[in-house]
This record gives sequence, structure tokens and C-alpha cells, in this order.
Amino acid sequence: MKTIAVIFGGRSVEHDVSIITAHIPIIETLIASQKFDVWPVYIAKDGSWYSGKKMNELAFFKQPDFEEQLAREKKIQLSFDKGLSLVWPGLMSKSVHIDVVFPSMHGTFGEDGSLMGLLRMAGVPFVGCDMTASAVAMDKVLTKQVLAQEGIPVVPSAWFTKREWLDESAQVRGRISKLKLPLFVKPAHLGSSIGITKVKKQSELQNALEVAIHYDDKILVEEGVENLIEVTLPIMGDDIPRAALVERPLNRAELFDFNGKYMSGGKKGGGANSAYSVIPADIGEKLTRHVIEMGKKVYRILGCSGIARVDFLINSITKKVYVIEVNTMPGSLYHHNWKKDGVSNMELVLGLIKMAEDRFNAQKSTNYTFRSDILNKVGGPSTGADHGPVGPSTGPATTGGPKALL
Amino acid sequence: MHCIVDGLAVEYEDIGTGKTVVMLHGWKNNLHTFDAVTLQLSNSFRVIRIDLPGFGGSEPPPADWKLDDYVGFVKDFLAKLDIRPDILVGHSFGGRITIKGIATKVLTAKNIVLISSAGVARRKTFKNSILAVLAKIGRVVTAIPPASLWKQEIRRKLYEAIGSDYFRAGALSQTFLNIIKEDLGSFAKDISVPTLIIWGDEDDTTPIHEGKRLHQLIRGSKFQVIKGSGHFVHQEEPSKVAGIIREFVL
Repeated sequence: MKTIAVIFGGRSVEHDVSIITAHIPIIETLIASQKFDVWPVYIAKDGSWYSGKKMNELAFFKQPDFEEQLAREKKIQLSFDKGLSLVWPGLMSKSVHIDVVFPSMHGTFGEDGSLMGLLRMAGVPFVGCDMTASAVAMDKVLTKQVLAQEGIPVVPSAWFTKREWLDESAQVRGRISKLKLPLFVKPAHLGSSIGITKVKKQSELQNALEVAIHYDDKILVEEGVENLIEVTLPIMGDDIPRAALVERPLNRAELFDFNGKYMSGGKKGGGANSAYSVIPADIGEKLTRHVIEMGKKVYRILGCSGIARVDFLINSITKKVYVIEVNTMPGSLYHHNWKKDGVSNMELVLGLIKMAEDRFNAQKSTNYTFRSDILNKVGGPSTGADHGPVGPSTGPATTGGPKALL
Repeated sequence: MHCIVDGLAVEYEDIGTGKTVVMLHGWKNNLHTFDAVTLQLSNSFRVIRIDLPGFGGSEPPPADWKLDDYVGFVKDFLAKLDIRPDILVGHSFGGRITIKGIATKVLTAKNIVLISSAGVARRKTFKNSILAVLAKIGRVVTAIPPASLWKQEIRRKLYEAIGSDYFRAGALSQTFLNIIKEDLGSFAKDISVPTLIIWGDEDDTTPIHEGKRLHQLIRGSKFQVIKGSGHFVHQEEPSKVAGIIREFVL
């Protein structure tokens, strides 16, 4: 039986959503499969790591004092010796070797590539997008820049940093003033629509900027799209992406905010995003095909693997389609959508693990190291071992340095 | 929608036009407790509801707050949005904020409405003081082995027996203790703005005798009892509550 770690929680405003995704559907499916020894790994809001089988139950996190209970538990450490192991240090120390990791993190310090970087260093297969795709997709500004460069339509926008706003607000306002109202002011790195404000008149802009800056140090201001239809498309796979069904969320009044996304379901056990969507979206066959083609192209451009979700804005009159953002860890894996497309939770979760292992094995065949004698050519004392004597006659021993070697 | 007040991201709703009504919810609750009554009032009033720090979509206080901190926060929120309330409505804990804020003149409003307000339960204040002492003793005792081994169980049993929100307050537990220890009787006496008090006669959280005491303390206050309703009278009878408020202020 393989040992799997499901990592969730984290230092993110989407901490609680991450707990839901981890349990519905990931942990419940893994346990039902009876193919894995499942170790839940919970990262608290302060960044402490904990693990224990009782955390396999979502009910544990519904207790009002669960944080106090955890504070009395031994924090775990990670060992990267021959892969990844969870270590409970101390007199009665214990360690569990992990065969594969299922990251279930949303937002900062997790979905943004940080965790993927850690897992790459550990040398352990992990589910979902790799570090680069995760990092780019987490930054809405970078995503737009990369996609625009590849000819994908994106809405007109301006961006600036918190420092620019504080030091050069007039210049920043000048850039924003070139955009047409209504505007959407967004923290560049946050998901779940947190900190996003719709600005219908100029007098609302200041408050919207304050809110976005409260959450992030990089801000994106985008034009709204007229005659708007919003749709989203979950995609999975590696080299050959497979799209699920185009989904049209219906509970967008002014803005699809955190509550709209996660709180309005009310369907027990449904996980995030379980209600108030039309699947497949009622946008016609031609537009559906266009969205799917564009979604797969975006998936490939960003180098996504495992699973992701691409969000679109459509002008229902002109039929113009814009890509708005890419989410590399869709809430609850969008399992409700996959189910409608004929993919069961078991197929989804186990399929993603298989992809993770295949990617890991493929990466093994890539040579990441290179044998060179550069160290022996650089100036300074030499041991003289292995590569024979190194002295003034073999290189710029006293005055050169790396530059001279180039 | 959100705004930033005192460094905290705060969720609020602003709906309708007309005289301005500001609503403050109770402990462990949020602005949606007023959804039904807002629906009734927003056709003739501008209704602003706020999630108080630590509740709903608003960030928690950065430290253990006292009632005065919540009062100051509401003042800063109103200033930030340039709101001068015609009617300030407080339910339960929101009533505490209203009483203290209006009595100390930190908050201003032309009229106030107190729905099942907390803050004037003599017996409860005594009970709450005991609870505060027990909480302190409990913390010391359960830090020493072997009691420390059963700390959670002891605390859970103790607070369940007392029937307190303290245990459920989580990170806000010290804030909760700070707030419940204040008896607002003397402040209620200082209120001079027209006051409407609404109570359900089956309220078992803030029983009706507390409403009667409040009515006695606030000069010229109007006391409306809604029969068959409990602590969340505004949710149980939104039309009646909205009607009483409308009649009071128009």
C-alpha cells in the first residue's frame, strides 16, 4: 500500500477552502479506494505543520477549539533524505516515508508554487501543476502578460505595486484613468475573488484600491466586459489536456465573491462550488467549442499539468471571448463538473495521482546535472586531486575568475 | 462589499435610499441576521449593515478587544463612509455597542432601536463575573499535571455546565470575557435620544425582564413586546419588527 500525504491549510486567505478541498473529494476518495495509507498534513495559519490520522475527518476542523487542540500536539518536521518523510521529533520520535503528495492548497504559500518547489527539492512525486505554472498562474498580471504575448485575448488593464501607489499615486491614477468604467480592482495574487471590488463610478475607486492593497502588494485594475457571460472550464492532463464541461456560474450578482463561490451552496457534502451553475453552459455549440479550444491552448501555454481551471469572460453580443485567469488548484477539484462529464471522484483522484507519478518518472530521464572542470579552472587554492595539477599554466589562476573562463 | 477600517478588512452591505439605518448584529452572528428586516425597510430607508470584527466576512481584532474598542470601531466605520445614522439598531451584543456608544456620545444617532439587547442583566453580570474568575482559575489549574492531561475535557464540561458562549468563542474568548463583564445599567440611564426597545416574550438568552429593566433605565423609551418570539425576534417576525421601527421613526 502506497503512502500518500494530502497537504492543506496554509498561510492563505483561502485556508478554510483548502481544508474542504482536501477532504471533499480528495481524502474521502483516497480512503474509499483502500489503496493508500493516507496522512493528512495540515499547515496552520501561523505556518506550523501538523499531521495525525484524526485530521482525515473534516469534522475535526469544525470543532471551535481545534486550533487549541493542535497547539498541544507535536509539530512535524520534513526530511528530504531519500525522498520525503514526515518526522515527529523528540524522545518517542517517529517518521513516515511518503510515496506521493497530493497538494490541496489554495492561494499563497501553497498553490503559488512555493509548495511545489519544496516537493521538487524533496524529490517526491506530487499531484497537479508544477512550480512554474503555479507561480505564473498565481500572479494575475504575469498570467495576462504571458497569454497576451501568445495572442490570447485579455481585457485592457493597468497594474502597479503598493510602493508605486504610495510614491506615485498621480501617475498610477493616470494609468487607471485610461480604462473604461466599470473597473475591477484585484489583488494580483489572491484567489476566490477575495479583495476584488467592482468600481462603477470614480468615487468608488479609492476604497477599492485600499481594499486590494490591504491584501497584496501588486494590484491589477481591469475593464469590465459588456453584456457579460462568465464561464469556467476545468481541464486535466499533461501533454494531451482533457477538458471537462464548460460551466456557467449563475450566482454572480455584482461580483462572484468568496461567499458566492463557496458559501452559497449549502448542499451537504458537495464541497466548494456545488450549486448554482449551468453545466454545460448554455452558450451554444460554436462558442463552447471556441472556449474549449482556447482553454486547452492556455493550459499548454502556461505549462499546466495534472489539473487546472481557466476562467473566461464573454461578450454575449459580439461573442468575443477573453481569458481572465487560471486557477491551478480548482476548489474541490471541480469534481461536480467532472462527475457530469462522466468522471467519478475515484477516476479523478486516482487519475491525478497516476499523472503525478508518470510526470515524476519522466523527469527522472531528464539530466539536471552536468560534469565540468570549472571549479578547477577558477582562481584560488586547489587540492590538486582528481583533475590533476591546476596552476598558472592551465588557467587564469591569479587574475582571471569566472568571467575570464567564459 | 468591503472597506478598510482601523487596518481591518470589513464587510458591509449598503442598500436602499432614504433615512439612514445602521444595524449592528449580535455575538457569533453576522450582518445577514438582518436580511429579512432589511428587505422590509430598504424600500424607504438606506440600510447599512456591518460585520463586526471577528464575525462574518470581517477580519478579527488584532488583540483582545473591550466593548469600547468595538464602539470606537463603529465610530471609525461611520466616519470612513461618511455616514450620519438617523437610526442606530443593535441586536444583543450590537445593543451593547449601541448603549455604550450613544451614552458616551462616541456614537451619534437621531433614534436608537435596541432588539433583545444584552448588557443590563444584573444576575447575568454576577454570573459572568464568576465565569471570568472560573476561566482564570481553570487556566491555572489545568496547566498543572495531571489536570493538564484532561484540560480540554475539564474546560468543555465546565463551560457546557455554565451554558457559556465562552468556549465557543475560540480566538475571541478573552474579548468575550471583556465584554460580558460590563453592566451597562448606568450608561443606559445616560441615553437621551428617542429609544425603541423590541423584545420577544419567549427570549431565553436575554429574558424579557432584562428588556423591562432597560425600558425603566432609558427615559422616555418605548417598549414593544412581540408575543411568541425568542431572542432572534427580528428574524422570526421581520414584518412586525420592520413595521414597529417604521412607525417609530417616520
